[in-house]
Amino acid sequence: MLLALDTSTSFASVALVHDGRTLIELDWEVGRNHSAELLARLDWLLAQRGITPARLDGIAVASGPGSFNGVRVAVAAAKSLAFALGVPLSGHPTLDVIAWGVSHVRGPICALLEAGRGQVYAATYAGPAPSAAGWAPTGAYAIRTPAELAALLRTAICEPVVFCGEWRPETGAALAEALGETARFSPVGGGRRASWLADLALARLARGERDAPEALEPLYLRRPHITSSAKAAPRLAERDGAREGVARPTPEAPGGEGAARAIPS
Amino acid sequence: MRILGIESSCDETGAAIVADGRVILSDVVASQASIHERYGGVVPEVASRQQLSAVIPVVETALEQAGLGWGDLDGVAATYGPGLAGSLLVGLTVGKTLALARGLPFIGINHLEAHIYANWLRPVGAGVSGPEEAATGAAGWPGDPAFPLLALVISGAHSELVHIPRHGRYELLGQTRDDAAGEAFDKVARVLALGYPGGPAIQRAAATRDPARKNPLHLPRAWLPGTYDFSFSGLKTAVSQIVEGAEGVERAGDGGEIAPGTSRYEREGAAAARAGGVTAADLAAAFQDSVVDVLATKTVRAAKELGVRQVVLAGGVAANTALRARLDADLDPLGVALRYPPIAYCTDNAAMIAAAAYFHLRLGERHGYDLDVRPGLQLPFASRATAT
Repeated sequence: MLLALDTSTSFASVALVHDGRTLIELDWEVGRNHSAELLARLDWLLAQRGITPARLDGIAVASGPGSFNGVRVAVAAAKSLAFALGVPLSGHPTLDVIAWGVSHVRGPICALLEAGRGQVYAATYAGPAPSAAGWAPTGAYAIRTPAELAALLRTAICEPVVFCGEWRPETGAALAEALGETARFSPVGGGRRASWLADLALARLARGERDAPEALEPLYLRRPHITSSAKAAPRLAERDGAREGVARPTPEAPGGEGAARAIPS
Repeated sequence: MRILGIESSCDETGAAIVADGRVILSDVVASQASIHERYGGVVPEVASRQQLSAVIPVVETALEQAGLGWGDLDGVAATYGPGLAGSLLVGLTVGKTLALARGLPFIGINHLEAHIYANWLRPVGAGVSGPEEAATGAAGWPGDPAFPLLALVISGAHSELVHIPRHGRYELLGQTRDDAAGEAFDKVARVLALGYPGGPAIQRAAATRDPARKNPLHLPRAWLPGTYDFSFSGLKTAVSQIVEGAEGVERAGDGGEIAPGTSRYEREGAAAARAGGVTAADLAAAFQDSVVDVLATKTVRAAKELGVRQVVLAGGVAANTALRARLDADLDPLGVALRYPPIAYCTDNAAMIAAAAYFHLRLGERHGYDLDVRPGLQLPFASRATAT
């Protein structure tokens, strides 16, 4: 019995998979209530199927990129479950999960998530996939503006590209304008499903690979926002503000982490 | 009753197992202080990432040190506020998930209340054997703080004087109108380039003074007459003005990165900060004297007015030895006992979370899995007018 958890964005998904069949899956708009809703829904989901946590024999988790706090909630929960139950854990980049959902198409696939600051998290894949084993992007997981992404895709790929994931209308428009007929878009909101994540995890666990609960780290792609001069801009103000609840430091993607600096990629 | 407590409200990841709210079976902390010292404070996103990296090894070590398995635990508790949202999310999510996975009761704990309950913790190795309720009775153990209590809650974000007539009831007498006491220590330590965190840094610097030499400085006190409120921002400004105005009082840390564990002040000594007979140590001591004077005077007055038999200190500033000594000296003639947690349990720790959890769980209180973080959480103050 594999449990798959994904709270990478404001959209969340949880699934229970047994013998390759999805017993139950819950996909919902979670907003920023990742921790409150994930655990409550998980409890409900298990009860619905009359399954005790002790019957779980594997945990899969989407490890980002996405909303920093959102990603951390699912990863923290998955680590805790694997640790407390002593069962294997498998973390998968969220972009892999998104792309796996359209892996039947022939040709290039580009998985996208909004990263804030007018940028997207992106990775490209080559379809169709023969199997879930080893499903991975053809290049790096990157953070770019839609224009940069379009320019890269135009030079590297001459076939039509299928975009999948979650994006704002402006992002879609920018890609469509830059790429014209070669850009094809999966419906937004069909974003990703925990049962797809389960496919990837089952294939990986079957090969004997797993992640250690104490060692699995999210894929953030963005560095924390730190000003260059701590003396000029004391960070304590930020801490105190947060403690007073004035500036709850959870500005989440899209648009979140407003002033964060991207890793040069 | 053995409870696993998890604390992740700021820059430290803690897990502890405490029996019956008092006996520490294990206590583990992963500190990020050396990471944040570089920035002169805590960077929230860095703290959140470190929390997630540290939390499972810390919980695992707490279980190992106590020599306990999941079956030996009676509950799981985690801080749900106040604190940094991203940091709180990690510990709270882990706490709820561990409880769900192992079918254990879960309760979220108010970090401020937990600081007060640190006073119920016994010093490690205090020789309490067989810490089982059946043998000792649940209600009170010999040596527990005795209600009604007066609590001075003083940390980096809070300065509150609270009357506690019984478990769970908190009556606010007064609080800071601007900076918290610990915040003032941090800010003044930064002005004097003494390093972070400010409390221990100021205390160390003040201790380097020759006690026989009269301090040439006397800093102002904000008495706010007729109230139990505090104000520390004027004091911080006074220190800044002296530093900026007094030619040659050097800021020891200018232009240099502060190495972990040692401040420039310590490395270069008091000589670097000397000018016109006023040293950074004088400033640190005068600042500390002013804070301690106001905190102690108001606490003693409240203890008299309310007729409490015991005063408890709670929060990181409770570790300040000058404050402890002054309160001890002032309260003793009144027949009022001063209590404070062992120094290691004044600052953020997970043992106090497990201790506070015990007093809730034993009443059958629980939180659901839908509990969310509350970065701005306060003590649940009751009105004094309706006090029973």
